[in-house]
Amino acid sequence: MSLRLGLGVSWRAQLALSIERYPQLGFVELMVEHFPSHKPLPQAVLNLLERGVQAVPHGLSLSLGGAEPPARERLREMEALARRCHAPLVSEHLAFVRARELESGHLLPVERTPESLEIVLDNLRQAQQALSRPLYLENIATIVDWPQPTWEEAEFLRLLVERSGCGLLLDVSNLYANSRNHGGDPLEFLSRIPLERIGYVHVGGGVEHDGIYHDTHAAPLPSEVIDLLEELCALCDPPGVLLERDDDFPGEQEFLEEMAKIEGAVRRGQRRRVEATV
Amino acid sequence: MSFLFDLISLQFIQGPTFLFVYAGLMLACGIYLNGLRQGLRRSGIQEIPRRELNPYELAYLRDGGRRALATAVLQLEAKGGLQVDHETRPAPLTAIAGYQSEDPLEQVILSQAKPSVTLPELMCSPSVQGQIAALQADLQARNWLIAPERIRRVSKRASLALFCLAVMGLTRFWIGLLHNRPAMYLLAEVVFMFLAFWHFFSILPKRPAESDDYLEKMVRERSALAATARANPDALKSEDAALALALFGTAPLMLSLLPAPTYSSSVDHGSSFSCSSSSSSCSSSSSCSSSSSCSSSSSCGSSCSSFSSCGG
Repeated sequence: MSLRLGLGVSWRAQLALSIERYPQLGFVELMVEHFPSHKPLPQAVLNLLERGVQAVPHGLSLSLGGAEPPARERLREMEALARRCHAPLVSEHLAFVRARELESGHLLPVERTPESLEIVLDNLRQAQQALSRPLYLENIATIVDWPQPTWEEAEFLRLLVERSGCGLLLDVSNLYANSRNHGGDPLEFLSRIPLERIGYVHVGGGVEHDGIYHDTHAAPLPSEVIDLLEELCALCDPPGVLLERDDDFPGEQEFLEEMAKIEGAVRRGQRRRVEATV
Repeated sequence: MSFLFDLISLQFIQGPTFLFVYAGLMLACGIYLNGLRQGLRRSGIQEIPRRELNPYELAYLRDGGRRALATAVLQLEAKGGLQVDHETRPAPLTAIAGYQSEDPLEQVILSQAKPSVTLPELMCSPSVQGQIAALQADLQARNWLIAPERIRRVSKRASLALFCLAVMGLTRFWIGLLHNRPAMYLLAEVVFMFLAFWHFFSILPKRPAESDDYLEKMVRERSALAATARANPDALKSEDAALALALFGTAPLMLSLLPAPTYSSSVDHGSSFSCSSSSSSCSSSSSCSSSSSCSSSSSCGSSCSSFSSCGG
């Protein structure tokens, strides 16, 4: 059965009412670290699940790009949440967040070298063995990058996805942020990744500080990200598109406007794809 | 006199046997009173056809008159009948000229809010208190609330049973002490009885089970509203704010309607306010002691009896 998620939102208590009232809601993303297994899921989330809205656990702290294997306890937490909300898939970032006991507090980029590729593949294998759902890997936004990479990010992602069998969670906003901060053509990036392996897409707003674009998820969606989403939907049919908003939460009206922007971009992209095939 | 005490304390029954008899009497009284207590909960909602409760009626059911009034204020604001200056504490409430309402409580609020009034002042207004009392009576008549006389009846029977058993037990204990007989087991039984009665009958239900089920369902269905009201109250529309205040008593929504807390070295009254009169006082915590009586606009309603504590 093919995966179909529809339009989604990263669930936050601050947005719970707007999310519940959004009629086209297909899925919500639940941060694994926000829903520990010893606590019950919020009733508002349970109501959504009862309504048939799908839920996808999304991890921040597995550190799949780290030198150490992912912690069993964290994998157990992700698996427990996936079981509790009958998730069709789980997702995590292609990043490392700790080295030994040292927590970075940020998603840090993985070095794109053959050694690093093997380490990430090994970590992915362990995570996949511990999880009963397919794992999807998200591209991150970076402000700094490792010098002299063997592969470009798109190539590295393609290799990881092909060799591990995991899916791809494409963050269009991160792609936009990276192309803006480090250069590079996002459309070329899209042409080099396995689009058919995309499980769902993230979009979120950001701000520019001192010439650097920060993907803060605390601002309205920029038109460039919406345009990029449209381009993606003109190339493929992603099973789901999700709005990320983590701060400076909008009221219901602004929330609906944000979702309308996403809906519009998806529709326009689909129309172009259909026209191109006819 | 001695004969009377002997009779009261069933001296014709041997000590160890008496302990069993006394325990049996306690159990029988407990079962009987528990039946009465359960009966209170099974009052049933007679209203046919069922009329849904409006937000301030829900607020009254949840937490009494103070929350009902605050909800009605936010509801009026949502309808465009009242201007609420949330930047000032307590927020001045000003009626919008030309706005008409059919609802009696809203009419009273609007009449008081010309030129402007605050929530504490509204609480002290006799006409508002009268309307809150009418609201309480209406909810009782529709069986959403248990009539206070029914609560009092159960409370009185529980008090009577406790009194009789206590007199019997303590008299027997006293006579036992006079005759140097061991009576500690009896004392333990009496203490246990006091604790059990206090636990089960000091707070009698004020709502029938159907009302509780209804409220529970509302709370469950509106849990997204609760989450947003707690985490991001500023993002709520006025009508959502009114319902959130009614169902969940969301503190940030209530705060601007109340006076800013004042701190003093002696007694910290917090945000409390009182409508001073010789017979009634209401605190912001909406509870009253067994010795005080509450005005009709407090959450205590009129069901405060000597054997029941009040509050939502």
